[in-house]
Amino acid sequence: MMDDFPAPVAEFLRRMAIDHRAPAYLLASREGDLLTTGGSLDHYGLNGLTAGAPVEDQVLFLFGELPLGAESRSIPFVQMDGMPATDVHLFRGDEGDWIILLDASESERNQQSMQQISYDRSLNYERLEKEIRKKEILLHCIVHDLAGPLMGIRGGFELLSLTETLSEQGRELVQIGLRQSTRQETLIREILQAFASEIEQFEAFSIDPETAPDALAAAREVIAVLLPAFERHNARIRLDPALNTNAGWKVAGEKTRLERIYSNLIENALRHSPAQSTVTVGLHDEGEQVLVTIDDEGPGVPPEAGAALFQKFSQGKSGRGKIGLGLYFCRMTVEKWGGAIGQENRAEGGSRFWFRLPRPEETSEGAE
Amino acid sequence: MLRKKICMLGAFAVGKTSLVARFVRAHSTGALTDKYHTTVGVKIDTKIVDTGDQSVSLAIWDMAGEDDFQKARISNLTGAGGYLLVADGTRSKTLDTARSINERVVQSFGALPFVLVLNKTDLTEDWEIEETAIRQLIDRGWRVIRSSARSGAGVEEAFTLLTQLMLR
Ligand SMILES: Nc1nc2c(ncn2[C@@H]2O[C@H](COP(=O)(O)OP(=O)(O)O)[C@@H](O)[C@H]2O)c(=O)[nH]1
Ligand SMILES: [Mg+2]
Repeated sequence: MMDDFPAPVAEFLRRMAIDHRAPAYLLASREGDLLTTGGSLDHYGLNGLTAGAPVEDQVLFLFGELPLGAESRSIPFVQMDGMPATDVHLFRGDEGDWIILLDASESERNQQSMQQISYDRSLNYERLEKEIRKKEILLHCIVHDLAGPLMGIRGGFELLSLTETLSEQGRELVQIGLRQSTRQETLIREILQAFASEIEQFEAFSIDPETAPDALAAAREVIAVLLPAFERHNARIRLDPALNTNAGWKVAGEKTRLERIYSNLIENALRHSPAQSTVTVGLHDEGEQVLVTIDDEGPGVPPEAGAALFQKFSQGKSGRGKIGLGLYFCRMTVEKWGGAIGQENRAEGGSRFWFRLPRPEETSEGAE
Repeated sequence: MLRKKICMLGAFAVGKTSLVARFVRAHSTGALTDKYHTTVGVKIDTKIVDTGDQSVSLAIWDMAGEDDFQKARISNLTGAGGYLLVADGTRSKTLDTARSINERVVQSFGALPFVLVLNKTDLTEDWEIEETAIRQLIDRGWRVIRSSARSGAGVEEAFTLLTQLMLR
């Protein structure tokens, strides 16, 4: 197109586009040896190149590039110590492979600062999102916990209302208490329903022997997954050797969440395990229920911290993080499935985290 | 001396530049500031790696990260002998990005030696990538190394392992 332009215009345009960009070129033979050079090579720190010698031995950023294919190629913003940001263009000609260098430091600076702003924003956004997610879970946990004592309160009022010895006025007051606590429970249920997706996870579990998860299989699965993590810490993880692997170990619950509970508790044990120590996972038959134990050989939990371990705001000495919330989640899930969870320090040292879940029997006990 | 070109691939802000800085300028702690300075284009550094039985001169191409709007420039792998695929352990979606970049590399260049580097292990509290996900990749034959450009853990290992894989 520039062919049609009067010479002075074409010349002006050429200067405007290129001159301040310190153009330089190299020509390489098809074998990759340097034939000729020209332009502001010293601008790129490329002084004293030897004709006849391989280009890729002399120009670091051309290593592996030659010989070119039929397609021309460009590498924007090549940066090296002692060289400005450079646009490198490569194309094949009859004479050999041409390599064109153009200073791109100005547009690199512009692009960099725009990109920087955009990435800083994205990162901030991601961080906020993560923080909000955490808060949502926490809030859900708190609301869920508020419902606990209410059942007791309502139960208390119910018992009272059945008692004959109340005065007329007393009975009325009890009725108010009963109504209000029921209302409060409904309210909490409604709030919880708003966390619909979270709720689903909690509601969906099985007490049907057909579909209920196997506590031993889940333990094995999680141990297999965490094995490398233990190896990295020079610690061991094992199933209790005394465990009867032929017995049935199905429990009420849901497989994925059961594995989550295992990995939460086992990862927690690992976190407190000294090198060379062993974490033992045990399953114990308690008739209607199965007791799962996770024993570590760590320092144990100080008694004053033990009670708070599964509470919503307990997040350990280390401060923030998912650890505290993890145990809280375990507790909520286990309790939802009609079980219990706890921790005790073992006589022989270390700590034992345990949870107990009902077996999936015909009775609907524990299903809420 | 034998020479090899390798590339740093991954999402933005996973620590590609920091890993190279840690590896190439191991002793200049000043290079590792908290201030994030994103890379545009490519930054090329060299470093000699001793694998035990052979020394190799690496040309390390530290590339701009991939984001929603801009794909990693796969064509920059021309002539490369292998690559480090970097993900940020505290941002699990950067592992998805790494997977998708890898697919595109394999499409264009076939199976080159590579190592998946899960960076920022020092941030244990914020760690997101689950062991199960890592396990799956290892089962598929991926080499995985956990690293921290901050503490230096795993950095040397990642580059050395990749070099060894390229020499096989
Ligand atoms: N805590 C921590 N921060 C890191 C680590 N590696 C990189 N960063 C930080 O993460 C941000 C992005 O790092 P950078 O190397 O520029 O990532 P790149 O975009 O992949 O090149 C910077 O703020 C770094 O300081 C690490 O191992 N630990
Ligand atoms: Mg970078």
